[in-house]
Amino acid sequence: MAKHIAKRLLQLIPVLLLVSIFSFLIIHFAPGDPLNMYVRPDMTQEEMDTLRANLGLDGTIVDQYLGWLNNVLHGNLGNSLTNSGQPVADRILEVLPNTILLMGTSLVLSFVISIPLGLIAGLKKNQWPDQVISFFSYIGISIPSFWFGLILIIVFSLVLKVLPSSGIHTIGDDSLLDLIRHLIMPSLVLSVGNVATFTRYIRSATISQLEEEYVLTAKAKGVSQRGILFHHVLKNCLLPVITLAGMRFSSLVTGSFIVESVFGWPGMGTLGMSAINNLNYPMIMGFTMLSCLLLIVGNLIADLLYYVADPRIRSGFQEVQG
Amino acid sequence: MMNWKKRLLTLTLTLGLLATALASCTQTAAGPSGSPSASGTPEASPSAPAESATGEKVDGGTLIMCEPTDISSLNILYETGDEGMTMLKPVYDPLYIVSKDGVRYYLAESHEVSEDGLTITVKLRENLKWHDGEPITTEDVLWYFEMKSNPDNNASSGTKVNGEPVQVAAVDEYTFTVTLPSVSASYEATLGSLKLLPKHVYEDTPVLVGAEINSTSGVGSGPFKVKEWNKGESLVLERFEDYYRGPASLESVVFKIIPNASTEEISFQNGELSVLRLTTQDMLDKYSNDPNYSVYTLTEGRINYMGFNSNSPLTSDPKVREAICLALNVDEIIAGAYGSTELAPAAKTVFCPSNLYYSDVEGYSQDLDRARELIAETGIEGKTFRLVYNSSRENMENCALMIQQQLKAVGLNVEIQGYETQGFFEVFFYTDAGDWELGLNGYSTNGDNQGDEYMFSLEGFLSKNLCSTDEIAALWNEGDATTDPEERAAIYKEIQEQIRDAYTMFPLTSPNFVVATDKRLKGVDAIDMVPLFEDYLKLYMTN
Repeated sequence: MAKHIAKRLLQLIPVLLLVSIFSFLIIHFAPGDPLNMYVRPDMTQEEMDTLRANLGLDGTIVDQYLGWLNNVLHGNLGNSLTNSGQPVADRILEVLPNTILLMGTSLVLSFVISIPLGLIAGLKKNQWPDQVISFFSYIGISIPSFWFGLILIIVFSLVLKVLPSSGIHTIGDDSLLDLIRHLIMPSLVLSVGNVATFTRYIRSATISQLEEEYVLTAKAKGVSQRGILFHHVLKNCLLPVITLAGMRFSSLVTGSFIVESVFGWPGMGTLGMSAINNLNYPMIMGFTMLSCLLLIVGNLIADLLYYVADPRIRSGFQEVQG
Repeated sequence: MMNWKKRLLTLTLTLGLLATALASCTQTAAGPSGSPSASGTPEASPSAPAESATGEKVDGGTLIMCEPTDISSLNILYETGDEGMTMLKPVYDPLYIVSKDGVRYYLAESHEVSEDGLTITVKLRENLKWHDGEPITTEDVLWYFEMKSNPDNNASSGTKVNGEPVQVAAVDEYTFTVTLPSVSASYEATLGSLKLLPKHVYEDTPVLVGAEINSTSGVGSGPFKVKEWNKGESLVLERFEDYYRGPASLESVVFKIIPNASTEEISFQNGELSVLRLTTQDMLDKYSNDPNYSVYTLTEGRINYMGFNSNSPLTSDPKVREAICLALNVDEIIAGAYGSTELAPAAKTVFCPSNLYYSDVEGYSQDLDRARELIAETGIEGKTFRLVYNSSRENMENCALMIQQQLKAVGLNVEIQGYETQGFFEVFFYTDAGDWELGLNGYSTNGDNQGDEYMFSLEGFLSKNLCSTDEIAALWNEGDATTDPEERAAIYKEIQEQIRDAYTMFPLTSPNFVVATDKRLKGVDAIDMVPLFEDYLKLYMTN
């Protein structure tokens, strides 16, 4: 197992390198020049050249990339090209907790809601509970998050006046309750799409598991339907859930551009959007590399959880190693 | 039995959808309900209107505004974007402001330009204090210019005239002189607009670019000081009690970061914001007709225009440019793009009316017959012109569509192409490829600082693509090298006429900055200047 983990971690290196090259190329081929943010009408060419050199934007694209890579290998993600010149890593660390909180809450919420719904839908296949759940799943998948977010703000903030419309906390109120009030709407919007997707996967897994012979055996032994569902079927349905969790792991740090924008949530999505608008390439690279790393690590964790959850995979490993 | 269940299900779902639809309709119907800070609205202004409002001035209250993006530091030196200019305005005062209505003094109590125009003597007020209580003196001024002159600080604006550095010297603790290497009449306004920084706070930091202190200090000289900066979320300012002109009436000013325009409007309706910029005719009508809000029209000090690419074989021909200018009807463009002239009055020249040297020169008038003659003469009928515009700017796309339509009527095809801000500037200003003919842009031209309008000069860094003539370029230089205001006015009038006669740009609008505000907020239009607000002492709340 340790060998497998080491191998997967080694595979990270070429993947990250390729991602960094492609990201760097894409940013540099995008129309615009980050230097434009600083240009004044009275600037001379000499001043522009000095500025370009100070910002590290002189030299060929290869020089710039190698310079960036060298910094990264020395643990430095570079400095933001915005006026403050703040280190990228510091800026990311400032907003990361906000995004982890929002995305983490919505992921937990999504699983808590979708697992029972998926199981019920699978168990009651083609009966009315399944149809109701499926109907809402389709709505959840189809509904645009910005629209749903605005509807929630109108209903709960403008009309009912029970929740704040944007931000992460009320000025001067750092209480947990206030944080929860701000968290409700954005995490709900993010969860709706997730719940819809996860429910469909779990429903599908439940239906296929219920057709397995071990279920028939359990029925023959007189195990109750609830016992079958929660003691046997649920465990096997966890595999697609693990895959989904692994795939969504990177979203914990990348956040959501749209939902964070609608709710004025100061997280990675907002930071990423602003970096892209300003062609702030050190920030975009930092953001991209972090999400890439987390995507790969997320999948690796999912593989390890497979190993824990499924004895067949464990025995497969042992056979290969043996 | 199944049918009954299905019907019930259908009914429930239909009701659910109806409820959602009704909720969305509420957005346009719901006003502030006369009580913006009703229960459950945690961030509403503390001085919500009482039912028995009398409209009398009250001390205190919170002004809450919003910006779509946050500042990246608390140092005004590096915050030259819209958000920095607005959010840090209450924190840092300028020396003085030169405007069409005269000079308004802030940190300086007077200034004088020598007869030869080469020396400006500025006298600071003697009771000035930084937000940490330290006095503001000429020591701060000398250090400020020295710091700006360091190329590593990337902040040289205001320290050079025609490429040569100015010399700054202290006369005494409160008086200093700035000696120019050559005459630059517009430097008087540039000097006045500088916002000093405290020497004692920054002097131990050799290079300010990227320094942590930019994000932690925020010690300024304005009527409000930084209380709390929640990055990406809000900036909270509190009244500076030792302010040299006396403390402000408002107790605090809060800037919230709300990237989404729809959320911003809902927050305003909900009483969570005190000010909302109105950018469409629908918004203007809606808030003008609502007694719960006040609507103010301020001059934005900008010119939105259509530029011609001098590197394109088509638009480098003055007759082609003339044909296009005469084929367009600016009033119809404004009616179609903005809805009315209240949001955007038509512009006539390269300057906006709030510029010191704006002249009421005659603009272009649509003359379709002459336009068609010129089109036939230049053989451009049926040719395709590429029009580029900044898609991030309000109403630019609508203007582009109106221009496309009007030029189609005289037989010219227009392909329109929008770019995000960075991409647009790259195409419009910096890449002299000549692969576009027409471009929509705007610039600030308030007061007197030979700023962005200088792009129509052949010499400025932004002049790579834009049309001009040698005569106009010479006049720009002459205007800045002349000290007599009347002579300058005559030169700038000639510039405006020559730009018009050479068809180097088509002025579209001189847009207004229209805002709806909480009815209790007063003093919004005390100074007709944006970014909001030049003087926070003029603002106050009523009950």
